[in-house]
Parts: sequence; structure tokens; C-alpha cells
Amino acid sequence: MTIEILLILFILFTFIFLLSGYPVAFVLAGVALLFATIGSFLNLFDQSFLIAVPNRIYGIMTNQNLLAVPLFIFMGLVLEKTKIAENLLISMNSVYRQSNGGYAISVVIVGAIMGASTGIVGASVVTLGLLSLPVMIKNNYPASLTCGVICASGTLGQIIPPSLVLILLADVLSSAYQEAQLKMGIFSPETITIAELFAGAIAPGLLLPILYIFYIKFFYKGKKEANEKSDESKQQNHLNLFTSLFPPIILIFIVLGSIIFGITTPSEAAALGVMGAMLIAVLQKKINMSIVFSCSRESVKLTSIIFAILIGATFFSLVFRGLGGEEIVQSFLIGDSSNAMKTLILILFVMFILGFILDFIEIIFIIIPIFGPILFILGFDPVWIGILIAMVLQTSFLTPPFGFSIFYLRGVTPVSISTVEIYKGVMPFILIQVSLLILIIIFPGIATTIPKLIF
Amino acid sequence: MRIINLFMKNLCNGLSYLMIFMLSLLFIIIITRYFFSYGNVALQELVMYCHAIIFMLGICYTLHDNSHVSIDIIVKRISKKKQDVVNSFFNIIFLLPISLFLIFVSKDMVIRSWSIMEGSSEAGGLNYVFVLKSIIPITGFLIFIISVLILVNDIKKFSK
Repeated sequence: MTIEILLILFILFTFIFLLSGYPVAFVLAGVALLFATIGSFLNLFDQSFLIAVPNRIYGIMTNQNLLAVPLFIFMGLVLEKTKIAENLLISMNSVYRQSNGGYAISVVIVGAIMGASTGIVGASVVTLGLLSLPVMIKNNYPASLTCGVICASGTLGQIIPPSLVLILLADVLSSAYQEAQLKMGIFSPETITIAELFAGAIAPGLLLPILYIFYIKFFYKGKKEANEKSDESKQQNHLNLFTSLFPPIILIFIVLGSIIFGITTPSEAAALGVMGAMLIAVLQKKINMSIVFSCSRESVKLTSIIFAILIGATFFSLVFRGLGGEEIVQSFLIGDSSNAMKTLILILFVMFILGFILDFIEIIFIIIPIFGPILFILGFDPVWIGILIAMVLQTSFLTPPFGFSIFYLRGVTPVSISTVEIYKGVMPFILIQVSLLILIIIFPGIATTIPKLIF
Repeated sequence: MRIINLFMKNLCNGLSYLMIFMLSLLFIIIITRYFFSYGNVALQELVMYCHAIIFMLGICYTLHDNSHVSIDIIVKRISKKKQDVVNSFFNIIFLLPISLFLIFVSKDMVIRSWSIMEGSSEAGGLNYVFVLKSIIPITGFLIFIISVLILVNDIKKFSK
């Protein structure tokens, strides 16, 4: 048996076993160990690759960037469990229900703010779905538009900073970038920081919800939804909106600002974010020790789940490398097409397809270490690449039949709304996403201008 | 078996407290640095230690709790019994080897670290790197215990 066949079997079996429904982290590590053993018996695998595992794990344990992960999760959970986002949606609805498409627009805005502050796709979609869906259907919004806008807004957290996706992406891309530079003979390699990636995501992250709103304004001609209300209650509504809108927005600015301008490290900014979120909750009298404790417990769990996959993926990529996978993929991608752009689009397309079955965490940890160095050897801007990848991942969350966002929404919609209706509803939003993606590919400045101005 | 369940429950509680402790530490670090311009490397490393302990031992807890992420697009359509068979098969060929691997491969690194009582590479850091490194085989050991536990349960289930 040649090493190529063993490598193909390795990838094939990894995918088959992943689909078996056994925990991803242990499938990755387990299949890697299995094939490393087979490879050593056939004298095709150099065991020194596996010996590196404890050192890699120790590297993950002492990684300062990844320290921000549990804290961002914690912040998101506090905002979610204390229902700060829910309040925002309710008060926004009461102000905007008179305008054309008002409910749909509120969903986009709240989705964007929730996304920025919590960044947990499942939580955003479920919250928006539970709160907005019944109201919108009652007000004669077509079911497809309703579902589409909720799914799309729920995924905004992926791209709007501060986001967990971008933190993990920054870490993985940074090591890929350094590796590529070493290969090219640059021995004092530059890195990519979380701050740079956050700065790069600001413009696309703002453009996306704006495009959503444009779409709703132009293509939805609904009736005025509610009777005119008296001025007095209108004022009351505006006041409510103000008090529920400002705390989270200020929180986002503090967290994002202190990271981007280098005032604190990402993990410290996230800790400030947790404290800030708790402070808001205390002021709104919505928190007690048992909520804090359950947030803490949840964040321990979610963090462990993410790190388990990271460690599993480390096994996978070491064995992949040990079986010569890296050279094969690189010679295939770089050797075959002289056109760098073609390679980029091919890689993005592969990630998009994989996004149907794999979660963003798995794609970031498994796929990017393989493809990342190639993209950097071809000379692309690292921040630009990072934003493109984040956009692709976000779009694949939304794409039928296996978009995660759709699954989450399906879980909270009444049976009367068919799944096909949800599929129809997300289509225009996917088109918007893809158009923005193409725009960023043509005009890299959308992603790279702000980081260049700051750093 | 009851002891392990009790241990895992306490482990989760302990880690949750540790998380809150880590959060407070970070807050203290920020305040002291920006208001009193006082930086302490040991405190920062303590945060890192907390984080490492939380997720490494958390992995064991979530394994025991069965809440690790899996891809269930296809699995949803097969019967519960078949799923159980598949899972117990994977427990034997994946989980047990992983746990043993973690223990035996990290052994050398940890022993070396203990023999020189390895300290922090930074001045003023915490000199307990050997403790930190020991977490890797400890995690391996806990995963081993849990996988044996699952195995015993499976045998009982299938022999019925």
C-alpha cells in the first residue's frame, strides 16, 4: 500500500466516522491514532509526529488568545439568560411597528446587536424565533420572509465583531500565516492578531445588516401594522427603547474598542464585557447568584466542548501531515493552477460545501490548517482572507438543506410553517451574502481599509 | 460507579467556581494595571492555569455528561439500539486508545518536568509548570476511567 492510498483512506474514514454521530473531538483523535498505528506498521508513518501531541496540547493550554474564548461565551450567556436581548426586541417592536416592514427591520437590528454581544448563533436564532415569529405571522408577514429574516439575522454574530468565530479564526490563521512565511524563507514571521481581524470585520459586519434592511424596505410592501397610538405612549416607547438599546451598544463599544486600540488584551476585554453585562443585569434587576452560577457552568461546558474539538483536530492534522497530506494538497493546488484567484475561490467553495455538515469550529480547526498556508504562500492579505472565510462560514450556516441556522429555527417554528417555506425565505439573504462576498473579493478595501488605518 | 458520578458532579461545580474565580482575577489584573500601573506576571499566569484546568478537566466532565458535539444529520434516522451498538464500538476503538495514548505519551514530558521542578519561563512567573503539565496525563486518566465505566454499562445493557 502506498502512502497516498493510506492518506485517502484516512480522510475517507474520518468523514464516515464523523457522520456516525459519535462526538467529533474523539472521532478526530481516534481515527488519527488508528491510522498512525496502521501507518507505523507499514513503515509509512513517522511516529515523531504523534510524540508532538503533548507539546501541542500544552501549547493550547498556555495560549493567551484562546483564553478569551470562555470569557466571551460567559458574556454571551449572561446577556442571553438575563433576557437583555429579549427586552431590546420587545421595545424595538413597539416603536417600529408602525413603519413599513418594521418588525422585520427590528429583527435585523436586534440580531446584529445580539450577534455582536453574544455571538452564539443558536441562541440568537432561537430567541429571535421565539419572540418575533408569532408576532410577525400575526401581523400578516409572509412566513417565508419571517423565517428568512430570523435565520439571517441570527447568523450575523459570526461576522460582527467581537465574535467567537473571528477569535478562533485569528488564532488558527496566525499559525498558518507564520508557517507559510517560514516556508518562504522569512524567519521573523509576522502574525495576525485578534484586533486586526476584528477591525477588518467592522465594515462588512455593518454592511450586511444594512443590506438586509434595504432588501426588506424595497421588497416588502406590507400594510401598516397597528393603529396609531397616542403621542404619550409613543414617547414612553421611545424611552423604553433608549434604556434597553444603549447599555448593550455601549458594552460592545467598550469591549471592541479596548481590543482594537490595544488598551487591553482580548481576554481582559472579554472579562470587562462579562462584568459589564452583569452590571446591566443588576441595574435592570434581572440577575441573581443562581443565574451567574448557571452561566458559569454553561460556559465551562461550552468551552470544554470547543477545546476538545481543537485538541482532536490537533491529532488529526499531525497525522495528516505525517502521512504527507500537506505536500499533496499543496502540490495539487499550487501546481495545478497558475491562477492564484482560482485557487482561492476553489478553497472557499470547499469550505462552503463542508459548512453543510461541519460546524464552524470544526472547519476552522481542521480545514484551515490544511488550506491556510497555501493561501498565504500565494501572497493574499491575511486579514482579507480571514474575513472572506468568516463570510463563507456564515453563509453556509444559512444555506439549505443543512444550514445550522435553519435547524435551530425549525426547532422553534410551528408545524404549520413548512421547511420549504424557510428554505424559500433564506434564499434572498443568501444572495445578499454572496453578493457582499463577491464585492469584498473584488474590492478588498472593504475589509482591509479599517485595519490599515488603525495599525 | 456512584463515586465517579458524585466526583463528576462536584468536578463541574468546582470548575464553575474556578471560572468565576478566574473572572475576578482578570478584573483585579485590569484594575491594578490601569489604575495603579501595577503588573503581576504571577497573577496573569494564575489566570492561564485556571483556564487550562477548566477546559482540560471540563472535557472529562462533558464526556461523562455526554454533551460533546456530534454530527447527527444521519444518525437521527437510525434506531436507538443501532446507535448504541455504534457508540460502544467507538468507545472501544477510539476512547480507550486516546486515554492510554494521552497518559503514556505525555509521561516522559511530565516526568522530565517534575525532575527539574520546571518553573515559569518568565521572570516573576508561577513556578508550577510541572503541575500544569501533569494535567495532560490526569485528563487521560479520567477519560480512561470514564471509558471503562461506559464499557461496563454497555456490557450490562447488551447482556440483558
